[in-house]
Amino acid sequence: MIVRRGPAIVLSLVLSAAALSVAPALAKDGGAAKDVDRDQCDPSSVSRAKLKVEQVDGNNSRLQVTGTVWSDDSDVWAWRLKHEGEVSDDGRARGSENSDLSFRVVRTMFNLPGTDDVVFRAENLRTGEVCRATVSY
Amino acid sequence: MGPILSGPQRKVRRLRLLRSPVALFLTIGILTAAGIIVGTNVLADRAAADEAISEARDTTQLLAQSVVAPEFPPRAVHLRPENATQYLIQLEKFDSEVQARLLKTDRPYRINIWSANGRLIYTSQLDVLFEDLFKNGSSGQPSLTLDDEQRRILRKGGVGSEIADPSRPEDLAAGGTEGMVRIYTRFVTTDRGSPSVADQRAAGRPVLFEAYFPVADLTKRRAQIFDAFFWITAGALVLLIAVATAILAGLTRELRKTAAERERLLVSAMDASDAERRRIARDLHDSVVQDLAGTAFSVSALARVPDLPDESRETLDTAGSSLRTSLKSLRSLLAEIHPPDLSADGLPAALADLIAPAGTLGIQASATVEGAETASVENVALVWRVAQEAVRNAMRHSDASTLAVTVRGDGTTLTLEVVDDGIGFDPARTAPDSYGLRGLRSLVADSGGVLEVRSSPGEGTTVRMEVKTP
Repeated sequence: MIVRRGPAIVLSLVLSAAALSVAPALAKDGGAAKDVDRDQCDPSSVSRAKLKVEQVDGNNSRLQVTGTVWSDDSDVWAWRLKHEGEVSDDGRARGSENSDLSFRVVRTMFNLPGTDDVVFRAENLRTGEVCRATVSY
Repeated sequence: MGPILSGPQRKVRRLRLLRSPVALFLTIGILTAAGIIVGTNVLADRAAADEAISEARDTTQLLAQSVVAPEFPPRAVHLRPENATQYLIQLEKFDSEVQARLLKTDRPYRINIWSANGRLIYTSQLDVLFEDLFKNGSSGQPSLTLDDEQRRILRKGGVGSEIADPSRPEDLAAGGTEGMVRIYTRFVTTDRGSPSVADQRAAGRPVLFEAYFPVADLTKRRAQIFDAFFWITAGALVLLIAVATAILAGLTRELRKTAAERERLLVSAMDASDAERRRIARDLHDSVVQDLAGTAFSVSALARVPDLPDESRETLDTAGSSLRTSLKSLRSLLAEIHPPDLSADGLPAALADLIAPAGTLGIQASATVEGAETASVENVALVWRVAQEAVRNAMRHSDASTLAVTVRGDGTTLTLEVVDDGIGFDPARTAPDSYGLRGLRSLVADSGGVLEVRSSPGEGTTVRMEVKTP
C-alpha cells in the first residue's frame, strides 16, 4: 500500500497547533484558568480593557494585579478591583497624551488558598461606558 | 655615618635614652592613653548599643503612629478564621502601602500587628498569617500568641524590645528571625475618615505593632555611633600627647642646656680653684717649707755644738723639735690642699701624708696600698678624695684609737676601705652622707663605682668604695 506522507504531515501539524491554541492554562490549584482577560467594553466604542494577574517574583503569598484601560480619550474613569467578591481597592484615573490615552492600575493582592477570583471594573464617568475583566487565578 | 660605639657606650646611651623625661612621659602617656581608649571604648560601645536600640525603638514608634496607624483598616481587628477572606481583602491595600513605604527599605525586616485579644491580624510575612488562619484556625484558637510583656504594652502603652527567639513560633518566619531584635508598641485604630459605620465602630481599638530589626543593622548603626566617639577620644588624646611631648622636649632641651652650662661653670670654677690651690701649695713648698726645713736643720745642728750651755741646748732642741712638728703639719696641710703626686706610684706617699696628723691626735693610723700600680690617674684621684674625706671625718668625729686606710686592686676593681674603731653612729638617725660624703657619692657613681658607709654606735665606721678599673 502506498502512503502519501505530505498531506499526513500537514494534517498532523494543523491538529497540533489547534490543540495548543485551545488548551487552557493550568490554575495554581491544578484546574483550568487564565491569568489574562480582555474586554471590548462597549462594542460601539474603541475602548478596551485588560486584566493581568501574576505571582509576585519570589513571593508565593502575593499576586500582582494589573488593570489597563485604553480609551482614546481623556475622560475620567472610576475603577474598582475586587478580590473574592470584596472590594480590594478603588479609585479614579484617566488617560493622557503621555500615556497613549490609557491608564494602568497596578496593585498587590493576597494569594489566598484555592482559586483567587479577581475582577477589574472601570466606568467612564462621562459616557457611562463600562469595561469588565475577570481572572480566576 | 655616626660614630661606631662600643658595647658599654651603646648600653650607656640606651640607659640615658630610657631615663630621658621625654621617653618616660611618652611611655606613661601612651600607656595612659591606651587605658583611657580601652575604657572609653567599653563605655562608648555600651552607649552606642543602647543608642542603636533606642533609635530602633523611636523608629518603631514613629512608624506605628505616622505610617501604620493612618493606613490600617480598623475592621481588620475582627479578623478570624471563619471570616478570613472577607477581612483579609481589606488588608490588601494596607499591605501594598506597607510594602511600598516600609519594607522596601529593608528596615524593618518584618512587621506584625496583633489585635487586643492577642490574635495576629497582619504580618508582612503572609505565609505565617495564612498558616495561623487557614491551617490552625479550625479550632478557633490562634497558634500564635503574645507574651506577657507584649500584653502589658498593649494594655498600658510604651515600647518593649527583645531579642527574637527563633525557636518561638511567633518569631519563626520564612526568612528566619535569627539575629533579630523585635520592638513593639501600641497604636489605636482610626476610622480614617470613612463614612462606614463598621469602620467607625472598629475605630479606637488598641492594637500592637511589632517590628523586627536585624541585629546586624543595629550593630552597624552602633559601629557608626561608636566610631565617632572613638576618633574623638583617640584623636584628642593623641593630639594632647603630641603637643605635651613637643612642649616637654623643648623644656628638657632648655633644662639640659642650662645644666650643661652650669656644669661647665662648675668645672671651670673647680679648675680655677684647683689651679689656685696648686699654686699656693707650690709656693709654700718652695719657700716656707724649704725655709722651715733649713731652719730646723740649722737649729738642730746648732744644738749639737759642744760648748753650748745646757740651757741654750735645751732651748734649741725644743725649737728644732717644734720646727719639725710644724714642718710636718705644714706638709700635711699642703698634701690636703693639693696632693703633690696623684699618680698610682705616688698614692702611698699621698695617703701617708693624709694620715700624718692622726699621730698628733693620739690615733694610730696606717695606710696600705696593694695592686694599684695599674690604676688610672682618675681612679687614683677618686681614691684620694674619698680617703681624704673619710680620714678627715674619722679624725674629727670618731674619737678612734686606730685608723686603717687600705687600697687594693685586682686588675678589674680598685677598692678603698677606711676603717676606724671609734664611737660610730646610728645610720638610722644620722644620714651617712652628713659628713661631706654626699658629693663624693655622686662623684663615685658618675665614675661607675659604689660608695657605702657602714657604722653602728660603739662599733666604729667603715667607708668602702669600689670602682672598676678600665
